Amino acid sequence: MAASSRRGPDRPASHGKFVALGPVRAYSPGVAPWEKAVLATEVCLAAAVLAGLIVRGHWRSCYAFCLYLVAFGIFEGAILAFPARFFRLDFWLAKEAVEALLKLAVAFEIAARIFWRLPTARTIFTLTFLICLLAIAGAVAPTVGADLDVVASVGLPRLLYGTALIFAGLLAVCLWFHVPLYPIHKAILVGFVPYLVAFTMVLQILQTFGWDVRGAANYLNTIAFIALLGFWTRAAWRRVSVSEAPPSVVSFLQPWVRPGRA
Amino acid sequence: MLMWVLLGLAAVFLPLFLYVVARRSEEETLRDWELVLTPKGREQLEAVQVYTNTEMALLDWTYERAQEAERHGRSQEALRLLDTGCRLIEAYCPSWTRSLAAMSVLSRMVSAMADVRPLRPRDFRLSELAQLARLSQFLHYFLMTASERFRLRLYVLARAFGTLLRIVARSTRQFAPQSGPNWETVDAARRDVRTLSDESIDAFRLLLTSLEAGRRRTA
Repeated sequence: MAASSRRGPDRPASHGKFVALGPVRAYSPGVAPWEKAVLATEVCLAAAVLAGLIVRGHWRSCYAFCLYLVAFGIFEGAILAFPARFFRLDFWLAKEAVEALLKLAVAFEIAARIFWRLPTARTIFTLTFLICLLAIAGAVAPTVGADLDVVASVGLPRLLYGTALIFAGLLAVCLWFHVPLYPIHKAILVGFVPYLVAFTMVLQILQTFGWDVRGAANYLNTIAFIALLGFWTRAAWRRVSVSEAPPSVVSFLQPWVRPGRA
Repeated sequence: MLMWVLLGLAAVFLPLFLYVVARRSEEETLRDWELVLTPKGREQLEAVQVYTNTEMALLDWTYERAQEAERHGRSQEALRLLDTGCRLIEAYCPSWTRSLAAMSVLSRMVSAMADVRPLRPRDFRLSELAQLARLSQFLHYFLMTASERFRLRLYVLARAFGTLLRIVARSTRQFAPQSGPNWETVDAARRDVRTLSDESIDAFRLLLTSLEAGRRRTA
Protein backbone atom coordinates (compact mmCIF):
# COMPACT_ATOMS: atom_id res chain seq x y z
CA MET A 1 0.00 0.00 0.00
CA ALA A 2 1.97 2.86 -1.25
CA ALA A 3 1.67 6.25 0.23
CA SER A 4 -1.09 7.22 -2.12
CA SER A 5 -2.72 3.84 -2.16
CA ARG A 6 -2.82 3.42 1.60
CA ARG A 7 -4.26 6.85 2.16
CA GLY A 8 -6.28 6.57 -0.97
CA PRO A 9 -6.23 8.35 -4.24
CA ASP A 10 -6.13 12.09 -4.15
CA ARG A 11 -9.62 13.44 -3.89
CA PRO A 12 -11.57 11.84 -6.70
CA ALA A 13 -15.07 12.91 -7.52
CA SER A 14 -17.90 10.75 -6.31
CA HIS A 15 -18.42 9.33 -9.76
CA GLY A 16 -14.90 8.08 -9.96
CA LYS A 17 -13.52 10.81 -12.17
CA PHE A 18 -10.47 12.44 -10.72
CA VAL A 19 -10.47 16.13 -10.02
CA ALA A 20 -7.78 18.64 -9.17
CA LEU A 21 -5.71 17.86 -6.12
CA GLY A 22 -5.67 21.32 -4.74
CA PRO A 23 -3.43 24.31 -4.88
CA VAL A 24 -0.15 22.51 -5.42
CA ARG A 25 -0.49 20.38 -8.52
CA ALA A 26 -3.14 19.21 -10.87
CA TYR A 27 -4.09 15.59 -10.80
CA SER A 28 -2.44 13.36 -13.33
CA PRO A 29 -4.40 10.17 -13.89
CA GLY A 30 -2.13 7.46 -12.58
CA VAL A 31 0.34 6.97 -9.81
CA ALA A 32 3.48 9.09 -9.59
CA PRO A 33 6.76 7.20 -10.27
CA TRP A 34 7.96 7.42 -6.67
CA GLU A 35 4.57 6.21 -5.49
CA LYS A 36 4.83 3.28 -7.87
CA ALA A 37 8.25 2.46 -6.41
CA VAL A 38 6.86 2.55 -2.87
CA LEU A 39 3.86 0.46 -3.91
CA ALA A 40 6.12 -2.12 -5.58
CA THR A 41 8.33 -2.25 -2.47
CA GLU A 42 5.30 -2.91 -0.29
CA VAL A 43 4.00 -5.66 -2.57
CA CYS A 44 7.47 -7.26 -2.64
CA LEU A 45 7.73 -7.09 1.15
CA ALA A 46 4.27 -8.65 1.53
CA ALA A 47 5.37 -11.43 -0.84
CA ALA A 48 8.53 -11.90 1.24
CA VAL A 49 6.41 -12.23 4.40
CA LEU A 50 4.20 -14.81 2.72
CA ALA A 51 7.21 -16.71 1.35
CA GLY A 52 8.77 -16.73 4.82
CA LEU A 53 5.57 -18.08 6.37
CA ILE A 54 5.40 -20.87 3.76
CA VAL A 55 9.10 -21.80 3.84
CA ARG A 56 9.25 -21.90 7.64
CA GLY A 57 5.87 -23.63 7.89
CA HIS A 58 4.34 -20.82 9.95
CA TRP A 59 1.45 -20.43 7.52
CA ARG A 60 -0.41 -23.10 9.49
CA SER A 61 -0.44 -20.86 12.55
CA CYS A 62 -2.80 -18.29 11.00
CA TYR A 63 -4.58 -18.91 7.70
CA ALA A 64 -6.42 -15.58 7.84
CA PHE A 65 -3.14 -13.69 7.95
CA CYS A 66 -1.93 -15.48 4.80
CA LEU A 67 -5.24 -14.62 3.16
CA TYR A 68 -4.81 -10.99 4.23
CA LEU A 69 -1.35 -10.86 2.64
CA VAL A 70 -2.64 -12.47 -0.57
CA ALA A 71 -5.58 -10.04 -0.74
CA PHE A 72 -3.23 -7.14 -0.10
CA GLY A 73 -0.92 -8.30 -2.88
CA ILE A 74 -3.80 -8.68 -5.35
CA PHE A 75 -5.35 -5.29 -4.56
CA GLU A 76 -2.10 -3.37 -4.57
CA GLY A 77 -0.85 -5.29 -7.60
CA ALA A 78 -4.03 -4.29 -9.45
CA ILE A 79 -3.45 -0.63 -8.58
CA LEU A 80 0.17 -0.90 -9.63
CA ALA A 81 -0.65 -2.65 -12.93
CA PHE A 82 -3.77 -0.69 -13.88
CA PRO A 83 -3.64 2.66 -12.10
CA ALA A 84 -6.07 4.30 -14.49
CA ARG A 85 -8.69 1.71 -13.66
CA PHE A 86 -8.10 1.04 -9.97
CA PHE A 87 -6.51 4.18 -8.52
CA ARG A 88 -9.89 5.50 -7.43
CA LEU A 89 -11.41 6.30 -4.10
CA ASP A 90 -14.30 3.86 -4.46
CA PHE A 91 -11.91 0.97 -5.24
CA TRP A 92 -9.62 2.04 -2.44
CA LEU A 93 -12.51 2.09 0.05
CA ALA A 94 -13.70 -1.33 -1.11
CA LYS A 95 -10.13 -2.61 -0.67
CA GLU A 96 -9.90 -1.12 2.84
CA ALA A 97 -13.25 -2.70 3.75
CA VAL A 98 -12.11 -6.14 2.61
CA GLU A 99 -8.79 -5.73 4.42
CA ALA A 100 -10.58 -4.58 7.58
CA LEU A 101 -12.72 -7.72 7.49
CA LEU A 102 -9.61 -9.84 7.02
CA LYS A 103 -7.92 -8.08 9.95
CA LEU A 104 -10.91 -8.94 12.11
CA ALA A 105 -10.66 -12.51 10.82
CA VAL A 106 -6.97 -12.56 11.82
CA ALA A 107 -7.84 -11.42 15.36
CA PHE A 108 -10.64 -13.95 15.57
CA GLU A 109 -8.51 -16.83 14.31
CA ILE A 110 -5.61 -16.08 16.63
CA ALA A 111 -7.99 -15.78 19.59
CA ALA A 112 -9.77 -19.00 18.66
CA ARG A 113 -6.46 -20.85 18.43
CA ILE A 114 -4.92 -19.61 21.66
CA PHE A 115 -8.00 -19.61 23.86
CA TRP A 116 -9.60 -22.75 22.45
CA ARG A 117 -8.85 -24.81 25.53
CA LEU A 118 -8.97 -21.97 28.07
CA PRO A 119 -12.64 -21.34 28.85
CA THR A 120 -12.25 -18.32 31.14
CA ALA A 121 -9.91 -16.47 28.81
CA ARG A 122 -12.13 -17.43 25.88
CA THR A 123 -15.22 -15.99 27.54
CA ILE A 124 -13.48 -12.75 28.49
CA PHE A 125 -12.09 -12.28 24.98
CA THR A 126 -15.44 -13.11 23.35
CA LEU A 127 -17.06 -10.38 25.44
CA THR A 128 -14.27 -7.91 24.59
CA PHE A 129 -14.55 -8.82 20.90
CA LEU A 130 -18.33 -8.39 20.86
CA ILE A 131 -18.20 -5.06 22.71
CA CYS A 132 -15.55 -3.77 20.29
CA LEU A 133 -17.57 -4.98 17.28
CA LEU A 134 -20.67 -3.23 18.61
CA ALA A 135 -18.67 -0.07 19.27
CA ILE A 136 -17.23 -0.17 15.74
CA ALA A 137 -20.69 -0.74 14.25
CA GLY A 138 -22.11 2.13 16.31
CA ALA A 139 -19.28 4.47 15.36
CA VAL A 140 -19.22 3.63 11.64
CA ALA A 141 -23.01 3.38 11.13
CA PRO A 142 -23.62 7.16 10.74
CA THR A 143 -21.23 7.28 7.77
CA VAL A 144 -22.82 4.38 5.90
CA GLY A 145 -24.37 5.63 2.68
CA ALA A 146 -22.68 9.02 3.02
CA ASP A 147 -20.38 10.61 0.48
CA LEU A 148 -17.19 8.63 -0.21
CA ASP A 149 -15.09 11.47 1.20
CA VAL A 150 -16.99 11.26 4.50
CA VAL A 151 -16.65 7.49 4.63
CA ALA A 152 -12.89 7.79 4.02
CA SER A 153 -12.24 10.62 6.45
CA VAL A 154 -14.72 9.81 9.23
CA GLY A 155 -15.86 6.19 8.99
CA LEU A 156 -12.54 4.57 8.18
CA PRO A 157 -10.52 6.06 11.10
CA ARG A 158 -13.19 4.77 13.48
CA LEU A 159 -13.07 1.32 11.94
CA LEU A 160 -9.27 1.24 12.10
CA TYR A 161 -9.16 2.46 15.68
CA GLY A 162 -11.72 -0.18 16.68
CA THR A 163 -9.68 -2.88 14.97
CA ALA A 164 -6.55 -1.69 16.79
CA LEU A 165 -8.49 -1.93 20.06
CA ILE A 166 -9.47 -5.52 19.27
CA PHE A 167 -5.83 -6.46 18.66
CA ALA A 168 -4.74 -4.64 21.82
CA GLY A 169 -7.56 -6.32 23.76
CA LEU A 170 -6.37 -9.70 22.56
CA LEU A 171 -2.85 -8.93 23.75
CA ALA A 172 -4.19 -7.68 27.08
CA VAL A 173 -6.21 -10.87 27.66
CA CYS A 174 -3.10 -12.93 26.87
CA LEU A 175 -1.10 -10.92 29.40
CA TRP A 176 -3.77 -11.13 32.09
CA PHE A 177 -4.29 -14.88 31.74
CA HIS A 178 -0.60 -15.56 31.28
CA VAL A 179 -1.24 -17.27 27.95
CA PRO A 180 1.91 -17.86 25.88
CA LEU A 181 1.89 -16.42 22.38
CA TYR A 182 3.32 -18.20 19.37
CA PRO A 183 6.07 -15.95 17.87
CA ILE A 184 4.16 -15.33 14.62
CA HIS A 185 0.97 -14.45 16.50
CA LYS A 186 2.91 -12.09 18.72
CA ALA A 187 4.52 -10.43 15.69
CA ILE A 188 1.15 -10.02 13.95
CA LEU A 189 -0.51 -8.49 17.02
CA VAL A 190 2.40 -6.32 18.11
CA GLY A 191 2.76 -5.10 14.52
CA PHE A 192 -0.87 -4.37 13.82
CA VAL A 193 -1.65 -2.36 16.97
CA PRO A 194 0.79 0.55 16.47
CA TYR A 195 0.37 0.53 12.70
CA LEU A 196 -3.41 0.81 12.86
CA VAL A 197 -3.11 3.64 15.37
CA ALA A 198 -0.62 5.38 13.07
CA PHE A 199 -2.92 4.90 10.05
CA THR A 200 -5.87 6.27 12.05
CA MET A 201 -3.75 9.26 12.99
CA VAL A 202 -2.85 9.88 9.33
CA LEU A 203 -6.52 9.86 8.30
CA GLN A 204 -7.38 12.08 11.24
CA ILE A 205 -4.67 14.55 10.26
CA LEU A 206 -6.16 14.69 6.77
CA GLN A 207 -9.63 15.19 8.17
CA THR A 208 -8.55 17.96 10.53
CA PHE A 209 -6.02 19.87 8.44
CA GLY A 210 -7.33 19.12 4.97
CA TRP A 211 -5.59 17.74 1.91
CA ASP A 212 -2.83 20.36 2.02
CA VAL A 213 -0.92 18.21 4.50
CA ARG A 214 -1.31 15.04 2.47
CA GLY A 215 2.43 14.96 1.69
CA ALA A 216 3.50 14.73 5.31
CA ALA A 217 0.63 12.34 6.11
CA ASN A 218 1.65 10.15 3.20
CA TYR A 219 5.28 9.98 4.35
CA LEU A 220 4.25 9.09 7.89
CA ASN A 221 1.96 6.34 6.69
CA THR A 222 4.44 4.94 4.16
CA ILE A 223 7.19 4.76 6.75
CA ALA A 224 4.84 3.08 9.25
CA PHE A 225 3.64 0.48 6.76
CA ILE A 226 7.06 -0.37 5.35
CA ALA A 227 8.36 -0.70 8.91
CA LEU A 228 5.46 -3.05 9.70
CA LEU A 229 6.15 -5.22 6.63
CA GLY A 230 9.88 -5.26 7.45
CA PHE A 231 9.09 -6.38 11.00
CA TRP A 232 6.79 -9.13 9.72
CA THR A 233 9.34 -10.27 7.13
CA ARG A 234 11.92 -10.70 9.87
CA ALA A 235 9.44 -12.61 12.05
CA ALA A 236 8.26 -14.81 9.18
CA TRP A 237 11.76 -15.87 8.15
CA ARG A 238 13.06 -16.40 11.65
CA ARG A 239 13.39 -20.00 12.79
CA VAL A 240 11.31 -20.74 15.87
CA SER A 241 13.42 -22.72 18.31
CA VAL A 242 11.90 -25.88 19.74
CA SER A 243 10.33 -25.15 23.12
CA GLU A 244 11.90 -26.59 26.24
CA ALA A 245 8.46 -27.08 27.74
CA PRO A 246 7.14 -30.68 27.79
CA PRO A 247 5.43 -31.74 24.51
CA SER A 248 2.14 -32.29 26.37
CA VAL A 249 2.13 -28.61 27.43
CA VAL A 250 2.98 -27.39 23.91
CA SER A 251 0.38 -29.64 22.25
CA PHE A 252 -2.27 -28.41 24.71
CA LEU A 253 -1.60 -24.71 24.25
CA GLN A 254 -0.27 -24.61 20.68
CA PRO A 255 -1.67 -27.68 18.90
CA TRP A 256 -0.72 -26.33 15.47
CA VAL A 257 3.00 -26.55 16.31
CA ARG A 258 4.56 -29.68 14.85
CA PRO A 259 6.85 -31.47 17.33
CA GLY A 260 10.50 -30.74 16.60
CA ARG A 261 9.65 -28.22 13.92
CA ALA A 262 12.08 -25.30 13.81
CA MET B 1 -12.25 16.01 18.77
CA LEU B 2 -13.08 12.69 20.39
CA MET B 3 -10.87 10.88 17.90
CA TRP B 4 -7.95 13.14 18.81
CA VAL B 5 -8.50 12.39 22.49
CA LEU B 6 -8.58 8.66 21.74
CA LEU B 7 -5.46 8.93 19.62
CA GLY B 8 -3.75 10.92 22.37
CA LEU B 9 -4.59 8.22 24.90
CA ALA B 10 -3.25 5.58 22.52
CA ALA B 11 -0.05 7.57 22.00
CA VAL B 12 0.48 7.77 25.77
CA PHE B 13 -0.38 4.22 26.79
CA LEU B 14 0.50 2.19 23.70
CA PRO B 15 4.32 2.39 24.01
CA LEU B 16 4.13 1.28 27.63
CA PHE B 17 1.73 -1.54 26.78
CA LEU B 18 3.84 -2.75 23.86
CA TYR B 19 6.96 -2.58 26.03
CA VAL B 20 5.32 -4.89 28.59
CA VAL B 21 4.20 -7.28 25.84
CA ALA B 22 7.61 -7.31 24.15
CA ARG B 23 9.44 -7.79 27.44
CA ARG B 24 7.51 -10.94 28.33
CA SER B 25 9.29 -14.20 27.52
CA GLU B 26 6.88 -16.55 25.75
CA GLU B 27 9.12 -19.53 26.45
CA GLU B 28 9.05 -18.85 30.19
CA THR B 29 5.29 -18.34 30.07
CA LEU B 30 4.93 -21.67 28.30
CA ARG B 31 7.06 -23.36 30.95
CA ASP B 32 4.90 -21.87 33.72
CA TRP B 33 2.03 -23.90 32.34
CA GLU B 34 3.90 -27.08 33.25
CA LEU B 35 2.65 -26.57 36.77
CA VAL B 36 -0.92 -26.58 35.48
CA LEU B 37 -0.80 -29.25 32.82
CA THR B 38 1.60 -31.84 34.21
CA PRO B 39 2.07 -33.64 37.56
CA LYS B 40 4.84 -31.14 38.27
CA GLY B 41 2.37 -29.07 40.29
CA ARG B 42 1.83 -31.86 42.84
CA GLU B 43 5.57 -32.52 42.98
CA GLN B 44 6.13 -28.83 43.63
CA LEU B 45 3.54 -28.86 46.42
CA GLU B 46 5.27 -31.79 48.11
CA ALA B 47 8.65 -30.09 47.75
CA VAL B 48 7.24 -26.89 49.30
CA GLN B 49 5.79 -28.85 52.20
CA VAL B 50 9.11 -30.59 52.85
CA TYR B 51 11.01 -27.29 52.61
CA THR B 52 8.58 -25.52 54.95
CA ASN B 53 8.66 -28.33 57.51
CA THR B 54 12.46 -28.29 57.48
CA GLU B 55 12.62 -24.53 57.89
CA MET B 56 10.04 -24.58 60.70
CA ALA B 57 11.84 -27.42 62.50
CA LEU B 58 15.10 -25.50 62.27
CA LEU B 59 13.39 -22.37 63.57
CA ASP B 60 11.82 -24.25 66.51
CA TRP B 61 15.14 -25.91 67.33
CA THR B 62 16.96 -22.56 67.31
CA TYR B 63 14.29 -20.97 69.51
CA GLU B 64 14.31 -23.83 72.02
CA ARG B 65 18.12 -23.79 72.23
CA ALA B 66 17.99 -20.01 72.78
CA GLN B 67 15.49 -20.44 75.62
CA GLU B 68 17.63 -23.16 77.15
CA ALA B 69 20.71 -20.92 76.95
CA GLU B 70 18.76 -18.09 78.58
CA ARG B 71 17.59 -20.40 81.39
CA HIS B 72 21.20 -21.42 82.05
CA GLY B 73 22.33 -17.80 82.16
CA ARG B 74 24.19 -17.86 78.82
CA SER B 75 22.64 -14.63 77.54
CA GLN B 76 25.19 -14.03 74.80
CA GLU B 77 24.56 -17.46 73.31
CA ALA B 78 20.77 -16.97 73.62
CA LEU B 79 21.02 -13.69 71.75
CA ARG B 80 23.17 -15.24 69.07
CA LEU B 81 20.70 -18.10 68.59
CA LEU B 82 17.72 -15.75 68.52
CA ASP B 83 19.52 -13.64 65.97
CA THR B 84 20.09 -16.76 63.85
CA GLY B 85 16.39 -17.64 64.13
CA CYS B 86 15.36 -14.17 63.04
CA ARG B 87 17.74 -14.34 60.10
CA LEU B 88 16.15 -17.66 59.13
CA ILE B 89 12.76 -15.95 59.04
CA GLU B 90 14.21 -13.04 57.09
CA ALA B 91 15.58 -15.43 54.48
CA TYR B 92 12.42 -17.52 54.40
CA CYS B 93 9.70 -14.84 53.99
CA PRO B 94 10.75 -13.37 50.62
CA SER B 95 10.61 -16.78 48.94
CA TRP B 96 6.97 -17.08 50.01
CA THR B 97 6.20 -13.56 48.83
CA ARG B 98 7.52 -14.50 45.36
CA SER B 99 5.60 -17.79 45.37
CA LEU B 100 2.37 -16.03 46.32
CA ALA B 101 2.80 -13.57 43.44
CA ALA B 102 3.31 -16.50 41.04
CA MET B 103 0.21 -18.21 42.48
CA SER B 104 -1.80 -15.06 41.87
CA VAL B 105 -0.83 -15.17 38.17
CA LEU B 106 -1.63 -18.89 37.95
CA SER B 107 -5.00 -18.35 39.61
CA ARG B 108 -6.14 -16.37 36.54
CA MET B 109 -5.95 -19.58 34.53
CA VAL B 110 -8.53 -21.24 36.76
CA SER B 111 -12.01 -21.44 35.26
CA ALA B 112 -13.78 -22.21 38.53
CA MET B 113 -12.17 -21.80 41.93
CA ALA B 114 -13.36 -23.66 45.00
CA ASP B 115 -14.56 -21.19 47.63
CA VAL B 116 -11.97 -20.01 50.11
CA ARG B 117 -12.45 -19.06 53.73
CA PRO B 118 -11.02 -15.77 54.99
CA LEU B 119 -7.99 -15.68 57.28
CA ARG B 120 -8.92 -15.84 60.97
CA PRO B 121 -7.52 -13.06 63.21
CA ARG B 122 -7.42 -15.39 66.22
CA ASP B 123 -4.84 -17.60 64.45
CA PHE B 124 -2.24 -14.83 64.71
CA ARG B 125 -0.25 -13.76 67.75
CA LEU B 126 1.18 -10.52 66.43
CA SER B 127 -1.40 -7.74 66.60
CA GLU B 128 -0.33 -6.29 63.20
CA LEU B 129 -1.06 -9.61 61.48
CA ALA B 130 -4.33 -10.06 63.38
CA GLN B 131 -5.42 -6.62 62.16
CA LEU B 132 -4.50 -7.53 58.60
CA ALA B 133 -6.53 -10.73 58.91
CA ARG B 134 -9.47 -8.73 60.29
CA LEU B 135 -9.29 -6.38 57.31
CA SER B 136 -9.15 -9.30 54.88
CA GLN B 137 -12.14 -10.88 56.63
CA PHE B 138 -14.05 -7.63 56.12
CA LEU B 139 -13.07 -7.26 52.43
CA HIS B 140 -13.72 -10.94 51.75
CA TYR B 141 -17.48 -10.41 51.89
CA PHE B 142 -17.41 -7.53 49.43
CA LEU B 143 -15.94 -9.66 46.68
CA MET B 144 -18.23 -11.44 44.27
CA THR B 145 -16.28 -14.41 42.93
CA ALA B 146 -14.21 -17.14 44.51
CA SER B 147 -11.27 -16.22 42.27
CA GLU B 148 -11.29 -12.63 43.56
CA ARG B 149 -11.46 -13.91 47.14
CA PHE B 150 -8.60 -16.26 46.46
CA ARG B 151 -6.46 -13.46 45.05
CA LEU B 152 -7.32 -11.29 48.05
CA ARG B 153 -6.16 -14.10 50.32
CA LEU B 154 -2.87 -14.34 48.39
CA TYR B 155 -2.42 -10.58 48.56
CA VAL B 156 -3.07 -10.51 52.32
CA LEU B 157 -0.70 -13.43 52.87
CA ALA B 158 2.03 -11.66 50.91
CA ARG B 159 1.47 -8.47 52.89
CA ALA B 160 1.51 -10.48 56.12
CA PHE B 161 4.87 -12.02 55.22
CA GLY B 162 6.18 -8.54 54.48
CA THR B 163 4.89 -7.20 57.82
CA LEU B 164 6.37 -10.15 59.66
CA LEU B 165 9.69 -9.55 57.97
CA ARG B 166 9.70 -5.92 59.12
CA ILE B 167 8.80 -6.89 62.71
CA VAL B 168 11.54 -9.51 62.82
CA ALA B 169 14.10 -7.13 61.31
CA ARG B 170 13.11 -4.51 63.92
CA SER B 171 13.44 -6.96 66.81
CA THR B 172 16.86 -8.12 65.53
CA ARG B 173 18.08 -4.54 65.64
CA GLN B 174 16.69 -4.14 69.16
CA PHE B 175 18.62 -7.12 70.58
CA ALA B 176 21.00 -5.47 73.01
CA PRO B 177 22.92 -7.15 75.81
CA GLN B 178 21.68 -4.67 78.42
CA SER B 179 17.93 -4.72 77.59
CA GLY B 180 17.62 -8.38 76.54
CA PRO B 181 15.49 -9.76 73.72
CA ASN B 182 11.73 -9.40 73.50
CA TRP B 183 10.95 -13.10 73.88
CA GLU B 184 7.25 -12.56 73.46
CA THR B 185 7.57 -10.91 70.04
CA VAL B 186 10.07 -13.47 68.79
CA ASP B 187 7.86 -16.35 69.93
CA ALA B 188 4.78 -14.73 68.32
CA ALA B 189 6.69 -14.21 65.08
CA ARG B 190 7.85 -17.84 65.14
CA ARG B 191 4.28 -19.09 65.55
CA ASP B 192 2.87 -16.67 62.98
CA VAL B 193 5.39 -17.62 60.33
CA ARG B 194 4.18 -21.20 60.72
CA THR B 195 0.53 -20.12 60.45
CA LEU B 196 1.29 -18.06 57.35
CA SER B 197 3.20 -20.95 55.78
CA ASP B 198 0.35 -23.37 56.48
CA GLU B 199 -2.18 -20.95 55.00
CA SER B 200 0.02 -20.45 51.94
CA ILE B 201 0.41 -24.19 51.42
CA ASP B 202 -3.37 -24.53 51.72
CA ALA B 203 -3.77 -21.84 49.08
CA PHE B 204 -1.33 -23.67 46.79
CA ARG B 205 -3.20 -26.94 47.30
CA LEU B 206 -6.51 -25.25 46.53
CA LEU B 207 -5.04 -23.67 43.42
CA LEU B 208 -3.73 -27.00 42.13
CA THR B 209 -7.06 -28.71 42.81
CA SER B 210 -8.93 -25.98 40.92
CA LEU B 211 -6.45 -26.07 38.03
CA GLU B 212 -6.75 -29.86 37.78
CA ALA B 213 -10.55 -29.67 37.86
CA GLY B 214 -10.47 -27.07 35.09
CA ARG B 215 -8.12 -29.23 33.02
CA ARG B 216 -10.40 -32.27 33.39
CA ARG B 217 -13.38 -30.22 32.26
CA THR B 218 -11.48 -28.93 29.20
CA ALA B 219 -10.04 -32.33 28.21
